[in-house]
Amino acid sequence: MDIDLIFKIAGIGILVSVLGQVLTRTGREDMAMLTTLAGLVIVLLMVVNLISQLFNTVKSMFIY
Amino acid sequence: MDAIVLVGLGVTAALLALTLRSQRPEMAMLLSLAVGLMIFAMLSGKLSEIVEVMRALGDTAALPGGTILLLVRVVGVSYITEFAAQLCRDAGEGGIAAKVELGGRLLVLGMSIPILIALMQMMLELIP
Repeated sequence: MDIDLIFKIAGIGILVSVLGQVLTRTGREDMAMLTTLAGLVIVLLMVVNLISQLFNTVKSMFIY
Repeated sequence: MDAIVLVGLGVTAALLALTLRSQRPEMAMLLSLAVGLMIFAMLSGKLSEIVEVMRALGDTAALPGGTILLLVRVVGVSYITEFAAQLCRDAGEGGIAAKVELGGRLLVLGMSIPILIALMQMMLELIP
């Protein structure tokens, strides 16, 4: 099981928050909001794959 | 060895989630979701062995109908609902968590109705 997914998500989170701060400081609030949104979507896509994997294992294991 | 991996994973994830929570609470929630799924994926091998042993025991004990199958299914349903409910509670949504748990209980009850009926009939036969 690849453990580095966690560090990827944490990295994206920290990066997005730093970028957001920088962008808001330079007066680009809309860009900051967009980068936050982009980060969120990327992380969501990564997690959705994991969720589908969970449901498949549970279904195959508990056979319902 | 497995325990150490589990503990290490949990502690690092909690630490990372904490750093994220101040700036990006939604990222922290996604992080905890990912960690939960990963720990389950690590444990699924052992879990399937346990399920196989339970099924073998069920066959030897010749229980009526799919009792063991139903038992295993109930465990699966309750695990998933508990997983989702705890996640909602982490995100601060106690209300949604309660609804998910209610739904899980109803599902389990609905699935165990046939067993209840079989039990009742058995009891009635005992009474002369």
